[in-house]
Order: sequence, then structure tokens, then C-alpha cells
Amino acid sequence: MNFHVTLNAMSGKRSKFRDYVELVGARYLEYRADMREMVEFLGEVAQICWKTLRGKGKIRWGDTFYYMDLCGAQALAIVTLICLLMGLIMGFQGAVILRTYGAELFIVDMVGFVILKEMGPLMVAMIATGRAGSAFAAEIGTMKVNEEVNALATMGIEPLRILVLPKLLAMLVTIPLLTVFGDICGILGGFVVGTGLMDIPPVAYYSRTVEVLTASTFMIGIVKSIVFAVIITLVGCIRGFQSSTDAQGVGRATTSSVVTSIFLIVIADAIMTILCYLLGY
Amino acid sequence: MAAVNKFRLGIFVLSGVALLIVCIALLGLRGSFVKKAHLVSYMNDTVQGLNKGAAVKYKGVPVGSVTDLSIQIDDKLVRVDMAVEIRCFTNKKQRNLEKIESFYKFLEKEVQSGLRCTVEYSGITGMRYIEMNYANDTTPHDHPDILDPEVFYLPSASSKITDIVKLVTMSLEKISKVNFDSISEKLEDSLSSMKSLLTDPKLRNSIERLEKLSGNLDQATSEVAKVLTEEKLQGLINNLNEAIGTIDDLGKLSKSVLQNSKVPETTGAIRLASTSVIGLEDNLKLTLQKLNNAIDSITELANSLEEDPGSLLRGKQKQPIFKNQ
Repeated sequence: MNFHVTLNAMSGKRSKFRDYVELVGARYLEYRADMREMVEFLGEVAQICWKTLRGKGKIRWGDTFYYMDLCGAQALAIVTLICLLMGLIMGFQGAVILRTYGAELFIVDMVGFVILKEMGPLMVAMIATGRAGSAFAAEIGTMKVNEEVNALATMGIEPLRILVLPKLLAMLVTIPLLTVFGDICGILGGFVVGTGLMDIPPVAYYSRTVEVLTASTFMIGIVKSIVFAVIITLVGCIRGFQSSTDAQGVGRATTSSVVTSIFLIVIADAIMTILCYLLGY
Repeated sequence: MAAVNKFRLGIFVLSGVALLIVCIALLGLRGSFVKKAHLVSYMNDTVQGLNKGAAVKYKGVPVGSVTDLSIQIDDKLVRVDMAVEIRCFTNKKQRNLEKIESFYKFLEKEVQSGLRCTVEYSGITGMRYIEMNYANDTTPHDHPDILDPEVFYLPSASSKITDIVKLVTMSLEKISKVNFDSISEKLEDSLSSMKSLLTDPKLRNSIERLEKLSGNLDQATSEVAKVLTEEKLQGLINNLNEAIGTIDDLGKLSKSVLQNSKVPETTGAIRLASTSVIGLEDNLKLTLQKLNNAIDSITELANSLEEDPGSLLRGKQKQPIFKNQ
């Protein structure tokens, strides 16, 4: 009896509190469903890839080359510029501290390792998210608005084979290549600062770069970029497929694809960095 | 779907793949084609800061890297495996050593000359590297059991830093053994005795006297300074110079006099004169004796004349045979 009285007295507060709890619960359920959907989507894509590898289905090479051009060749300029500036910025920031200790030559190590292992793949992934991921979400979302996706399914054509596989293939090729360009430009940025500001002889900078950087360091960045390519493609595509059938829905799907991609890229990067550390790389 | 710019795409893919291959080759495969010698050393001291991939230097020149670090449980020594690029070693004709065996022979000879490897600090970061350099200690080292014939054993030596640390540790141990309590007690005693000594009226009196003395000394010095003006000093110096000049002239003059005095001839003459004087002495003695006899005779004559002056006229009388005659 007393309990009921107390509850009634607190009813005003309790309803607000209950709303918050319900909101958190709803968000969690949404998030869980989203994750589940993503994993299912990944499974479907893996199934399509496996079928294609076994020769049960064709790859649309025309589309693949188109996306390679869109996401790779056309993004080259912005990637090189951003990575060059990133190397310059890191060089400048490092120069201030390293000069204090008379360890100017260590700028090579700092810029080299950070660019090759982290910043190179990460910056390329960010640019690709902004360019390709959003484009994929918008493209598939628009197709969904026009009910082209449903039409494909009605005709017995697997939408994933037509819409996802070429994008994934294109991204798997172009993102690592863009990362190679980005890495070289980043190191070049550090080289400019090192030789120009710190008066390190160019030959010494080059020798130190070749001495301290190893193929495994370089390959870590490439492997990361492959993982990022998969994340960007799948998130872009799934957000397109999840888009509601109106113009605003396409916009929301595009925004969501970028945000989710960046979030997942950072998470994946952190996991891979810890793994590399544990494995001794 | 928009048309694909195949040329642009081709350029992108080709250049990307080419750069990927170049990067891998430059960073990874570069070392695969280089001949490397496998060196092993055993460290007794700690190798804190030495990691896999750390540089190996010969007289400061980077020649390789540390490939492995392990602890030998039998004797608790740290085994350091190193890969040394033999292309870094050339002969006088600037030709690289082609065979690892010849490089090992070179190392063997150098080890006998004192080549040792030490773990040195590469800077303030705490990172360390292996330095191959010549040590003063050339005593032969025990050769550990290395089964692999392709591996060369390079003896190690403790680094200068380790030696310094050991010295400091020893010094600190010695310092810790010092009984500071008794020293402080003794110091306090000394201070108290010194205090009593300082308060002694005799010492105070002595100090006052000393002060007076120093005052007098100051006064005397000032007076001396007044008396000994620069002009006077200059005059004294001039006089001294003149005197020295005169002494100099005198010396020269005496020298010339000595030269002109014909000392050897003079001394010869003196020597001859002395020999003749020696002969003369005997003659003189004889003469003097004769003269003495003559004086005695004269004296006797005088006495007889005195007794008998007439004898001068009569001549000498015969003596009576008897007294009464």
C-alpha cells in the first residue's frame, strides 16, 4: 500500500526517468539490430564473393573500372596534397620538440613511422569515406528511391553482385594504391621540413629513412588500408540499402555512412594497432 | 553510368603498383641480396636499451644490426647475434670483400689485436648499439661452444659507461662505510676547542699586535714607495748598469793583462830561481858558519887584547910552564 503511494507521489519524476531508460534501451536495440544487419550484410557479400571466386557468377568489370577511376584516379590529387601537408605539419611539430634535445635526425623516424603505420592509411581512408563511401550510399539510396533495387531482385539478379561487388573490388585495389601514394607524399613532406628547416642533408635523410623503415612497417599500413577499404565500401553500401524511400532518407543515409565509416575505421585502426603491438610489429 | 577515363585509370594503377613494388624492394628486399656475416658475442653486463634491429658499428661506421638477443642459462650471459654486411669492408683498392671467410680471417686477426664489442649509448634516449672497437685488454677470451661453423665469435668488453658506473658504485659503497657520526662529533669538539681558542685574550692580543705590525708595515712600504721613486730607481739602475759595464771592462782588461803577462815563462823563471835559491841556501849556511868562526876569533882577539894590550906590540907570549915562573 505504502509502495503504491510512494510511486504515485513520484509519478512525475518517474515518467521522465523511465523515458530516459526507454530511450537508452531503444538506442541499444537499434544499435544491436544495426550491427546484426551489418554482419548479415557482410555475410551476404562474403557469400557472393565466394560464389564469384568459384565461377558461379560474373564480375561487372566495366562498373569495377568506373569505380576504380572514381575512387582512385580522381582522388589521387587530393590524397597526395593532404598527405604531403600532413607530413609537413608533423615535421614542423616534431622539429620544435626534437630540436630542443638536439635530436633533429629523429624527425625521419617520427614522420616515417607515423605516416606509414597510421596517418597515411587513415588519411586516405578519411578522404575515401568522404568521396567514395558517401557516393556509394547516395547511389544505392537513389536506386532504392527509384525502386531499381527491387526491380533487380524481381528480375532474379542479385543486387549485391551488381551494386556491391564492383565497388568492393575497386576499393580493394585503389585504396592500397592511394595509400602508397599517400605514404610517399607524407614522407616527402617530412623530407621538405627536415632538409629545409632542420638543415638535415638530403642524403642523410634518405639514408635514415631507408635504414629505419622496414617492409613490415610499410605493409602494416597497406594491410590497414585494405581493411579500411572493406569498411568504407560495406558501410556505404549498407547505408544505401537501409535508406528510406525519400530524398531526405538518401541524405541521412549519406551522412550516416560517413559517420559510421569514420567510427568503424578508428575502431579497426585501434584494434589493428594493438594487434601489431602484441605481435611485435 | 559515366564513361571511364581508361588512360587515367591505367596510369594510376600502373604507377601505384610500381611505387608499391619499389617501396617494398627499397625497405625490405634491399637487405636480402647483401652478403651478411653472422657474429655472436656474449655480454656479462646488462644490455638494457639494446633491441633487435639496433645498429652494429665498427669504429662508428654502421655495418650491420642486432638480429637476436637471448640469455644463455648455463652461465647467465646475454647472447647477442649480429648480422654484419661485409660490403662495408673494403681493401686499399676500394674492393669489397667477396668471401665471408676472408672477412672472418680479418676479424680473427683484429680480435688478437684487441677488437672487442661493447654496448654503447646512442644518445639521451637510452637506446643502445653495439660498437666494435679496439680495447686495451688483449688477453685471450674463453671461446664458447658455438656449434655453427658459419658463426664468428667476437669477444665483448665492458663499456666505458659501465666502468664509470662501477667506479661510482664502488665509491658510493666506500662513502657509505664512512662513520659520519663520529666525524661530526669530532668536528663539533674541534669547533668548540677552536671557539675557546679564539676567545683566548692572548690570541686577541697577538692579533692586535699583528694588526699594528701590518699597519707599520703598510706605513713603511708607503715610505719606501715615496723614497724609491721611479726616477731614483731609474738612476740606481743606470748606476748599476754603469758599474756592471766597469766590471766588464775590468774583466776584459785583466784578461788582456793575464794574456800579456806570459805566465808560463814567468813561472819557469820562478822555478829556476827557486832551484838556484835552494843551492844558495847551503852556501849561505857555510858562509855564516865561517863568519861565526871569524867573529869568535875576533872576540877572542879582543879579549886577549883587553887582558894584555901590550901583546899588540910584543906579540903573543909563551905560556909559563909553571904558575910561579
